[in-house]
Amino acid sequence: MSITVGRLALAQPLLNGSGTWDAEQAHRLFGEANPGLAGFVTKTITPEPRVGNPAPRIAPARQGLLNSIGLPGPGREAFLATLLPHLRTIVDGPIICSVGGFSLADYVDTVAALDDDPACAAIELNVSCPNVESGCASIGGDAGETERLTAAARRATTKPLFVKLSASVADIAVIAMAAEAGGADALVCVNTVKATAVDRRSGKSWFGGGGGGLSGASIRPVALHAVVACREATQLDIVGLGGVECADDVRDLVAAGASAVALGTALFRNPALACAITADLAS
Amino acid sequence: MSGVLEHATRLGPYRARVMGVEPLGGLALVRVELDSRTEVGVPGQFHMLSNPAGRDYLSRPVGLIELDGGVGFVVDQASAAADMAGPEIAVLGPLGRGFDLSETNAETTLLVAAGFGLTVMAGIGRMHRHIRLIAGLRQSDHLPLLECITGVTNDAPRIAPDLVTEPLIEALASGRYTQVLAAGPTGLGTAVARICADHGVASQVALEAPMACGFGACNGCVVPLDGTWLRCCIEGPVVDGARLLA
Repeated sequence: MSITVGRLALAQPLLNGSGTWDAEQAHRLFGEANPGLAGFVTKTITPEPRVGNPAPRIAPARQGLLNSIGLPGPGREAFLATLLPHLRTIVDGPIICSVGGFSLADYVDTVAALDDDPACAAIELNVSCPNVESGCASIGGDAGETERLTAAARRATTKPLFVKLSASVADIAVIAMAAEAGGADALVCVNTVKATAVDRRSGKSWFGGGGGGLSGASIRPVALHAVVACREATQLDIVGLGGVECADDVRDLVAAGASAVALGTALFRNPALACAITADLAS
Repeated sequence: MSGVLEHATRLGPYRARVMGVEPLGGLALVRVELDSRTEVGVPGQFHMLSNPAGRDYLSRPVGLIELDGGVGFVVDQASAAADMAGPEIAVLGPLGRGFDLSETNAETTLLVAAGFGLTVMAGIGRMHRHIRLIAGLRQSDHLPLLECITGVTNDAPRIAPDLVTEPLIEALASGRYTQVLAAGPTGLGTAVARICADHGVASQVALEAPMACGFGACNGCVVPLDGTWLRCCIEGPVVDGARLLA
């Protein structure tokens, strides 16, 4: 069931959400870099290498997972020189590169570098990570900033340009329209929802890096609302994401307006989940 | 169980049948019959277990123990009743790096473990009979856990607030041991690694960390290694003790 989302052709509609899959480790352990997925969305690439947040980084939630990971990664230079060429040899399908940063220039420089690399099929602007100290969600929480960033990235690349949104904003439709005005090809709805766990003794955040985002089944209705709101507000294609666990969850997001659907937290329980859902969708 | 397990990677998740739950003081031993494709792995490796009918939304990392007549794992009693009672559970693994046992023997290797880390030592005890184990427990009603660790020669177990580090220092002072294999919380691992370094003795430590996936995807299980934060499921859970001291 081939589809097109934001000018990107996919053999079928299932992707992973950025930050929820490590294709390199999956290839080493399972012999397949992205089993059942139409392509691979990378973890967010930042200009400099990042260790990520101190432990603890995760906490269980009812029907979900709380995380405060903090965008660990090798940085732009090492990603382009080493990781992306390796991914191109192991990933089945297109590679969508997630880009993050702390200023407009951070994003644009990475987008421009990726524009020159044929291994990158599309670019996703992460303007919605709740677990870093600046940038990202603060950009995606403001319509003007989102439009300026998207427009600047648009000028830096001809590749399909996706913008990943947060539901932790006053009105996601306003942010979606800003991304559309800036020249985005597609929206990704949604990133984790701002949330936290507390240390009962101190009353402070449980997480070593503070912040926190909620994923998993508990945010599925939030994702559905976001997809509906963005569909009604824009003409853009949408990748639906949030709590998807089975074929019916995919059908719901597609009915709400998504062209493609990404899996996230549910992959942690079953790394072959996309194969199972694809089979169910075909039956 | 839903049809999702009809599709699996080469490490699963595959079904396992729960054969029984036996109380172990405040803990419980869950005996399972693994799918023929699931391997137990080497001591120190782990499996991610989940039960779609249980309370847990996420899988949990567990060390499988080879028992006379089967395989099992240890959890607290509440979890056993609510999440792992079966009739079936899903098992992914073996995952992570286990102990390098190429230099291990009962004469010059010493085992140190506490809490659930003790279960890691069961496999080593089966391979190296009479190897010495210094065991630590958080509370006295966990003592029956030691019944699962066969083959080892047990010191009198240390029950909190008594520490395993005291008998470890005494043992290393004898000069008999050239290697320590340890398992338990990060604090114990770091203390063992420090004491071993002070005595010029090599150490391998199996670390514990909360995990969401167990295969490197979530980045949630970081531990302090090499002076930075690295994924326990990929770098470990068994690491050279020196890496904890960097």
